[in-house]
Amino acid sequence: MFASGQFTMQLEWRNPTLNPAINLYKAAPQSGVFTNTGSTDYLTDANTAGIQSSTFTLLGSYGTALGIINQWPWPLPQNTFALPTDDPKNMYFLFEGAGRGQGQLVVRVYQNSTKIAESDAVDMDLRNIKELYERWTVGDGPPLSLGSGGGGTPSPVATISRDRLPSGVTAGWQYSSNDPGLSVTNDPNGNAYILFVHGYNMQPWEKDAFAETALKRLYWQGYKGKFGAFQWPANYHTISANAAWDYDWCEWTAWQSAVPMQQKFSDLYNVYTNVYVLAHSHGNVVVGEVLRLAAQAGSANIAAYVSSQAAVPVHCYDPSQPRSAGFFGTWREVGTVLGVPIYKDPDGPTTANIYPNWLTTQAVATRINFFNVNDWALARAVWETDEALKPDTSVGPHSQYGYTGDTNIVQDLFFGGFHPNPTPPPDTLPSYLHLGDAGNVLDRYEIMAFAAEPRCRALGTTANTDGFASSVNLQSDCWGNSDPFGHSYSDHCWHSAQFRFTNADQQNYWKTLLGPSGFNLP
Amino acid sequence: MTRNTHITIVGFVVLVLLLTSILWLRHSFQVHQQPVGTTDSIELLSASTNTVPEPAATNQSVEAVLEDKVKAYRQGLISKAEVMQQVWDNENARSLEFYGKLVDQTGQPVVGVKVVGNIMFQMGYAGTRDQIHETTSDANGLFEFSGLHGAMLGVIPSKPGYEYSYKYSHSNWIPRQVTIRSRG
Repeated sequence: MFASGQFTMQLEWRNPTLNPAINLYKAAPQSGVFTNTGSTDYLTDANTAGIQSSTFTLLGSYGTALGIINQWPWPLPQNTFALPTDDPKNMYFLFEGAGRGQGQLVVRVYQNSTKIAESDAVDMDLRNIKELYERWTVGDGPPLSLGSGGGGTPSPVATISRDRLPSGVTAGWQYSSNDPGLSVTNDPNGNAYILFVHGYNMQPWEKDAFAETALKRLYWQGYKGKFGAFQWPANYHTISANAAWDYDWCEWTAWQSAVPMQQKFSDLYNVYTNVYVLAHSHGNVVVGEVLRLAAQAGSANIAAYVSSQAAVPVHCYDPSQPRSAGFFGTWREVGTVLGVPIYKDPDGPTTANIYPNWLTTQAVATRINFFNVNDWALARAVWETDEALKPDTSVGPHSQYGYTGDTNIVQDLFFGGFHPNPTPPPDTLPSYLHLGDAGNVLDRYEIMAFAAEPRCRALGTTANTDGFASSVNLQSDCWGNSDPFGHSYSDHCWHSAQFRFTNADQQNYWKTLLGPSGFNLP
Repeated sequence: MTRNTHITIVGFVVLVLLLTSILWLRHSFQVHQQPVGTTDSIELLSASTNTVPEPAATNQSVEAVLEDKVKAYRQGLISKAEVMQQVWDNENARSLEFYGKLVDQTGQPVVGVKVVGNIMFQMGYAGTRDQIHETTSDANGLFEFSGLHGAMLGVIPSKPGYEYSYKYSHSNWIPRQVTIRSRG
C-alpha cells in the first residue's frame, strides 16, 4: 500500500513549543545480518557502526539523513517501506535531535491529501546536550593567535560557562537541587556526580566535545546520574611545533587551576552524596593538586578519582617506582637537604627531587590509575624528554631557570633569569624562586612546571602504583591486547582513544570506568 | 509508537548515532585477532624470528649528536625544540630488520601469508605516522623486511582461516615473536 504510493505516511509534530526537530536515518541491520531487528548493535559492534555511518552500502546510505522533521510534515520515502525487516509491521529508524523544543510526534496516514489515520503521540523534550550537564570554568585563556591559544592565569572562581551555548540558550546549565540527573526520575546511581577534567592542547570547543563524548558513552553504559566538566585554560595550538614552549606553560596553568577548582570541589561534595572524578592527561595535574589542597583544608573525601593517562610524575604518589632509564646522563644522589634528596648529573645542571610524595595525601577515598606503558604522549617521545630537559632554558616566566646545587642552602635553591650555572654565593643571584611547603606553595608551581626535574616515568605509564586501589592496564583490560597497528599501543592516537575512537571500539574503557575496577557504580 | 507512551528524551544524548564519531580506524580493525577460544584443541604454534641489531657505529653517532645538543641546551645555546627534534630523529633513524618464518600449530610452514610491516614514525609534537609495507611468505613460510628505518615496526600476518598474535620487545621496538595458528 505504502510502497506502491497509494498511501503516504508522514511524521509530524503536534503542539510544538520552540522548534523541535529530528533527523531521521535508516537503522542499519547488524553487520552480517540481512534482516533488520532494530537492535542497538551500532553502539557496540564496530562493523555495524561502520555500516550505520556509511554513506554507501548495497542497501543504500545509512549515514545520510533521510530527512528532517521540523515544523514541516515529512513523508516517509516509498523505498523505506521495502527495507528488509523482521516483521512487516516494523520499520526501524534512528533519530537525532536537530532542534530544541517540545512536542508530540505523531504518524499520520494520508490517502491523496486526505488524512485517514493518526497514531498515538510520543511526547518529546529535545534539548541541546549543553543543557544536560554542567560546565564549570576558570576560563579558556587568550584566543587563538599565531597558532597558539589558551594558557595564562585561571580565574579565581569557577563559574558556570556561558561560552558556546546553543542558539536560544542564554545561561549555562546548572542542576537544581531536585534534578534527577539524566532523564530518569529514579536515579539508580544514588545522587552521584561525575566530574570530567580535560588535559593539554584542547581548544575550547574540544573541551566540550570530550566532555560530551564522555557523557554520551557513560549514558550508554547505564550511568544516569549527574555529570559535569571542569574547564581550565589549558594551552593549545594549531601549529604543532608550538608545543615546544607551550607544554610547560600548560603545566604551570594546570597547577594554578587547582586553587579555584578546589573551592568548586567543596561546593560539589557539599551537595552530592558521592563525587567521582575522571581526569585525562594534564588534567591529572589539576585534580591531583586539588585533592591535595582539599586534604590540607580538611575537606571530606570524594568517592573516587580515576587518573587516566596521567601526565604527572609517578613519584608524586609512589617514590618507590624506579627512576627513568636515564636521559642525558645519570643522576646520583649526593646528599639531602631537609629530607629532600639532592642529585648530581655530570652532564648538566641538576635539581633537587622535589616530587616524592607530593600528592600522596589527598581527600579521596579510592584512587584508580588507568595506564598504558607505551603511551606516546607520556613516554620518551614527549613527556619524559620534556621533563628531563628541565630546568627550562628557553621557556617560562623567569627563563632561564637554574639550580644552585649547593646543599648548604636550605631554601631558594631554584632561580630564574640567570644562566649559565651560577657560582655561589647565591645571594648575588637574581629572581630566586621559593619552594615553600605543603601548606604554602609559594613558587612551587612554577618550579615544578619549568625548573625541577622528575626522576621517573609518568603516572599514566606506570603499573601497580602505591596508594592506588587498583591499576587498569588499558592495553589488556580495555583494548584487547591486540593493537591493530602492531605497535603495542604506542601510536599517538591511543593517548585519547576513549574520546576519539568510536563507542563500539572503546566501550570497554567506559564500562571499566563505571565497573568494580573504576568508580564501582551500579 | 505505543498507546500512552511518554518519553522524555534527554536531548541529543540518547539520539547520538555516533555518526560523527571518527571511524578512520575501521579498516585496520578488520584484521583484529580472532577469539582464541575457537581453537582450544590446538596448541600454540611455534614461530621463529630474528632481528638484526642496529649497527653500533650508527647508534653511537646519533646518541652522540643528541648528547651534544643536550649540553648546548643546558648552556642556553639552543632551544628545547631542537633537542626534542633530535630525539625524534634518532628514533626514526632506527634500523628495522625483520626476518620471520610463519608456521602453523603443527610446525608446518604457512605459505602465501600476507604480512604487513607497519612502520611508525615520530612526527614531533604532531604525533605519529604509520607507513605500510607488505610482503608474502614464501614456500618455506619465510618473509623479511629489510633496509627499513623508523621508530618501530609492527608485523601483522593475515591469511584466511588463520589467526595470529605477537609479542614484542619494548627495548628495541621490534616484535620478537609472531605466532600464527589455524582456526581449525
